[in-house]
Amino acid sequence: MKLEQLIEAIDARVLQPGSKGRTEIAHVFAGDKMSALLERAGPETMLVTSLANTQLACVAELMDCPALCLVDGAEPDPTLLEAAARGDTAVVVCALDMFETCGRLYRRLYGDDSRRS
Amino acid sequence: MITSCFPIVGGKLDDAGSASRRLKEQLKQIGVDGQIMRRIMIAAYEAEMNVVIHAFKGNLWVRLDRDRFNMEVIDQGPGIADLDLAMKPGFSTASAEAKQLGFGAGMGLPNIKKASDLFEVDSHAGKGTRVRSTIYLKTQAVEQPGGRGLSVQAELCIGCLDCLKACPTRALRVWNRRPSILSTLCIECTTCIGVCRAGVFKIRETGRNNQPREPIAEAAPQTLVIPRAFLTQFGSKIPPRIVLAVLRNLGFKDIRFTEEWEKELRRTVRSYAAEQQLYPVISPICPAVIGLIESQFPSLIAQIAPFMTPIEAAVEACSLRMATFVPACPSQRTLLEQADLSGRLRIVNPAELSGRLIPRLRTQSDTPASIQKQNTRPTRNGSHGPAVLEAWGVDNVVEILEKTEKGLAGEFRILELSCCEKGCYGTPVFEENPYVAQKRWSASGLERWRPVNVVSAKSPYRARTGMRLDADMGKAIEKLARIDELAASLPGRDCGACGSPSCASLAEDIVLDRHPGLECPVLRRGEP
Amino acid sequence: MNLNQIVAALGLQSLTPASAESLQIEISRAHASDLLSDVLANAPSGGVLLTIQVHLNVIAVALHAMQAAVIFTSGMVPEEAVRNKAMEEGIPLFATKESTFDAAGRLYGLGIRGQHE
Repeated sequence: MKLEQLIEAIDARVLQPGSKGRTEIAHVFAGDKMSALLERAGPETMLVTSLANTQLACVAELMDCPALCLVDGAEPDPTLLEAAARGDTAVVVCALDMFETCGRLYRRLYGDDSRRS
Repeated sequence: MITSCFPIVGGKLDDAGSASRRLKEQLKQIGVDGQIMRRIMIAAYEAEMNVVIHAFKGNLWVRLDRDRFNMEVIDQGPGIADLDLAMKPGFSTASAEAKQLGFGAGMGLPNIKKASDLFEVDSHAGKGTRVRSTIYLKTQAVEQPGGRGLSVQAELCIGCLDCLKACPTRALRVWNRRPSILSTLCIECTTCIGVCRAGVFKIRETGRNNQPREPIAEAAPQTLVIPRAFLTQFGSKIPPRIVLAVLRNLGFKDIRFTEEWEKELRRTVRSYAAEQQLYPVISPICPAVIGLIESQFPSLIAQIAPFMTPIEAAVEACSLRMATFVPACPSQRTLLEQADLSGRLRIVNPAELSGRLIPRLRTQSDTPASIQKQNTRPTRNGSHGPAVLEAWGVDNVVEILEKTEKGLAGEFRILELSCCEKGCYGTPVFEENPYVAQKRWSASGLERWRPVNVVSAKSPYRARTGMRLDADMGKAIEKLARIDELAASLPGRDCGACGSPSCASLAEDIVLDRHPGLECPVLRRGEP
Repeated sequence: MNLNQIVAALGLQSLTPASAESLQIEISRAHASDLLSDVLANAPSGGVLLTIQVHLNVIAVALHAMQAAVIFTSGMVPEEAVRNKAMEEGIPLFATKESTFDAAGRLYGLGIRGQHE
């Protein structure tokens, strides 16, 4: 699914647009432990986290991860955005908490299948 | 051989990662990619961050050999007081500041070890720490660890080696506790799925190009093709007709069973066999058996009745509409992926479909009073007749094919062979006992006859050449000689400790250079 | 939806024997986070917590934040000491092989929400 569609689902603001050629997202991983984010980051993965430090951009660059989503309306350091620009990583921020963010992204990615029949 | 050194400055969390980044640039230039690159990056970054968080300064040394990546991260710092504790997942001595930034999960050293093929750490309190990691470059087997239709979660492996012996084509290897499937040998039969206690092997979930997971609900295509067994997997309180009703509610108005095409195929093969001279005729009901014949028994290919397997015939039948297919095994999965040239096919694995159903099923389970009297006459599925041999299970199938090859099965006119017990009921992907499942289906009263077509195979079944030692016959013979010689020098225990299922396989692996650093650990230990 | 239904719907593995009453609790909120400070500050009380943080402190924090249960995701399972403490304090623990993202997505599909709506 295209990054734009996911951004729309969570009403996120784009802080760094990332590379035009890398907007296809197939998986999302959410968490706040760098080791776990490192392990799960990949070329079609978007990372969702409440962390906002520069190392996120480094991890994204090393693992060819195209997009970072910060939650809780976090305002990242300018250094994060610079590092993300260098690595061609998109950075978006949304005002929702991590659970809401995940819930809406999941629904957008996989469809809502618990409609009561 | 290339040697580089990337310095690391301790303490500055913001700037950290530069050594790993520079390493990545270098590796990209020489073409390291994919899974190998990921593992190297994980090892390098975790090692670098350890220096930044815990030490004053350090260096990331890299030596690149032809077939392996060697890394040494040496730092000057307080050192590690208790190495065993440091290797324990979850244990961390990182500062509160580092933890707030998401570090200090206590997974650094364990993750480096997991990413590495060889790993060593040593440290002296008050002096510093040295972490060494080796990651083998190439090989095909490691890069694409699955057979085409299988996925391998190597990290779940407990090292029991049961899979090595069970695989009928000796396609499995376990190198450094990392299971790999040699895809040229794999026939996608489900044996490893059934045998593995740790759940390492599964039917692959994403497409070959790693397409995203299929959403099921929104704009669900109308037609669903499933193995009958799927309806029988939800326990004794939820009979097949309830599962069927819930599937309809999900939006699938037209639900078909792969067995409809299988039944018709059996009937057709019976007529076909009557006109043949060469017996027995092999009925292509199980795609994994076809794979087995194509790889291990190519002399029997001519005896396979020239029709498509049931799942392929089902795809043909649905080719003019959008349809969702549920494969019962990796072999079916691969066939579906190959058949999906128009992109019209949706493939959903059984576990995923069950997962969607379960919340709805909970609200619908039968109370005993509401179950109507079921038709309990068992359904005749096999084409029974004195000259038809029906057999299940990979061991039985292999034995029967061996007999056939030797000309000892001429008393049978038709062989109906399946790798799984009772056909798709017995796939390990379904948990219910195959006999119980089949009985549940026959008691369900859902059996209906619908006209379906059997389709002639588009291209003839062909021997698989991936197993050849070499495309050049001369070189192949040479390699065979070397394999034999090497095999003779091995203990002959077939113990599996080297990661290959037998000594003969190890000899083959070494001569074909399937993996770096292969050797017999028993010989190395010097046991008699 | 009550906790029991959630456990069944998601196929959660039970890590502590939970009392019948605690399983009947109605759940409408959830929080996803691996940073204990964030849980303490932001988790909605009476909700379930999704996390991969298996450190002993997670129990104390979950109690303070009045979480109805803790669900460990991504196959993470805390040690015996942590499970024992949870049993002492009466807080049910569960585990799932699914990631935080997938578990959150499925809970969201069942009607569970985060702080904001």
